[in-house]
Amino acid sequence: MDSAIERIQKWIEERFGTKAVDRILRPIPNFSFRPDYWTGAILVTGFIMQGLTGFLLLLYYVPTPDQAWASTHYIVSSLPYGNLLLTFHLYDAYAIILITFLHMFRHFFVGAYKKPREAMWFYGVILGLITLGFGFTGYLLPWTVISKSATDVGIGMLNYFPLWLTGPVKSFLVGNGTDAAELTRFFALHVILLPLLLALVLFLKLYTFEVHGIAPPLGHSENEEVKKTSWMPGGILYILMLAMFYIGGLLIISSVFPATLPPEYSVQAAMSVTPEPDWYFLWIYQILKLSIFGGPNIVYALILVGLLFLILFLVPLIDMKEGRSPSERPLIFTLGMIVVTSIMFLTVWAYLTPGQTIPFYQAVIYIGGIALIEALAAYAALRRHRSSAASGKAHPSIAMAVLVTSVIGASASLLLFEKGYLISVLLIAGFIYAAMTSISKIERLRK
Amino acid sequence: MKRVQLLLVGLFMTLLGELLSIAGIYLSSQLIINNDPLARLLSGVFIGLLLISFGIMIAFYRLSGSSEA
Amino acid sequence: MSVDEEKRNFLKGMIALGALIVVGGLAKPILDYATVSGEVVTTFPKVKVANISQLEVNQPVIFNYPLSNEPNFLVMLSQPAEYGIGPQKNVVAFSAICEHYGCIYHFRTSLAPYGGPDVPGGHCPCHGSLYNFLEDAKVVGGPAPCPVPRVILELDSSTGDIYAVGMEPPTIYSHGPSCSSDVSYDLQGGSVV
Repeated sequence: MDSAIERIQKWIEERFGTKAVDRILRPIPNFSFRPDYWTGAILVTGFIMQGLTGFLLLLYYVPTPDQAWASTHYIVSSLPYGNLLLTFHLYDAYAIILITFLHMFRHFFVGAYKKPREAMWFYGVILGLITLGFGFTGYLLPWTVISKSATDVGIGMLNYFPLWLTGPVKSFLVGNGTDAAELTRFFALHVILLPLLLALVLFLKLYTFEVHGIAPPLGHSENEEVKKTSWMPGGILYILMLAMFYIGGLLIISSVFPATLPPEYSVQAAMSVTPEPDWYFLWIYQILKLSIFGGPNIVYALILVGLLFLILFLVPLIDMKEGRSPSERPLIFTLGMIVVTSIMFLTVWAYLTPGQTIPFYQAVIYIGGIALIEALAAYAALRRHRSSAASGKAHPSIAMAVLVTSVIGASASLLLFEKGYLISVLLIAGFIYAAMTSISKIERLRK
Repeated sequence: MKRVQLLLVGLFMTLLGELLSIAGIYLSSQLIINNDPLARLLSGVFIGLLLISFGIMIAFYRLSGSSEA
Repeated sequence: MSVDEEKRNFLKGMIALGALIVVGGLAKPILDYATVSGEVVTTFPKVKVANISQLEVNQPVIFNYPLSNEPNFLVMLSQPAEYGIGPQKNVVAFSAICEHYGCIYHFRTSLAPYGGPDVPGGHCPCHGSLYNFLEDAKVVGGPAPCPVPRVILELDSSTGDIYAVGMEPPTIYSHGPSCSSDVSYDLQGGSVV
């Protein structure tokens, strides 16, 4: 005879399917309970937090040119927890973008985009573009002298393209061109359309993930018999734990390093400011500032950036060999390393040269130098690897080590400067990485 | 035997961490409403520690092996 | 229940307790932030409504006072009225929101066609409430529970400017308990004009 509690549990199970989860979602292989396998889950956590904090901000934010800055200023100065909320929304955005890069490069280096998982990569690049769209549209909303100037420069670049191409894009973004129309449209994109697209593409990506299952670690085959854990409660608890560390850590950083709101936009104030994009666009900014792209040639710079994103999208079709370990795909692996280091380098370089045109030969020397050094190092390392009997068994931690070295190097240079929120970005990256490695050490306690 | 004791200590420590954090939140809430600058600097720390304590509690729970139900 | 099951339930209980504490800890900051209603004003502002020379008999001027969501009628009547200002004591102002269910009622030069006395006042089309503007908006028909509140007016006789300087009880509809006599409620729930 079932007790009352058991009968209630049965009632819930039959209707809410709490015990049926293994029929719907693949149980999780135990080897994957490491933070670097869950960067996607952390990103979803970040996006949900953006939705929630964004909603709370919306309770007081007014999206008209004369009230945007004032309402934002009201939130950070007069409302309890207002400054914490806005700083969290900003740092979460930065953390999402940073982790997006980590997520993408991690999966690039372990070759997780190879057959049959090409679709995961395609959806991923689309999600990445949506994420950058969130950053671009959200940046305008507080209507500060920096953000409005920078956004207008960004939109202004469209004017260099032929009208038939950019006319529709421009009127979609700014309507009849007034400040009010621009703000309304950016607001609508940021709050409704982009979240909708994100949810849709994310759903497709998660469905595709369930179809193929997780990419096994290098050296293991698909469908190998491994110990697994059900989503209920094991997987859910793991995600909850990561979410608690992520949100809690961001809250502490947001509290101790609050962001400051720049002054309100006005034409007079804008005259004394050099507009710059937000940090995650600085590498693109640096390319645009090259001397060969001066004046109307900026069109070619924008085309180049467009091509780079296209190549990024097509990676699974460019590297089509089956092997996933670095020694089996040395060229693309090395190219990836060069891209990572170049992006970090271009970002720091742009930060050091605001508004200055970059002589083309300098870029050739620096980027070429980076490429040469990395190519030689990769060649030497892979040669040693090939000669050992255990070739083909490269560990994905090589990829993480490469990434970490790049991050540390870039961070070390950032440490020399005093831009408050950039220090926070570095702390975010460091914290997340430290958390991830220590969590995986805790995992080993269980074995 | 030793492992069980470790787990229990861990769980109670994290519960204590949560209770201290929530005390911090409620005690500082009036200061926040009055815009006290030190409280503003620390408000997120209490909330963050509350969440992190819960995260560590889950870590100990998973260590106990109970999530393999 | 076996020892193992007891242990399991204890652990589950701890996690549940932990989660509850988290919810409780998050609730206070979120509620503190989200339920702030903005500027809190404690005194009635002095706002110019119109100049007495602009007023025409039985043509009401609509103005918001003291908050931007509190419309009122200012009207010069054809005969002297209780609390009327001006040389003929015939200028009055009352809240335009019916005290029954909050409809905006109409000013009529006579309430007789609506089943009321032959006086100027308010007739609410929603449920037929009638307010006599000659007698401080006294309810003379329909289901309204109390008169609409009167706006306290001041006339600057040198310039002819009419100012709104306060509200008399009862409270404006939906800004306080129904028909309350505490006019400080009229200053809450909106932004000052």
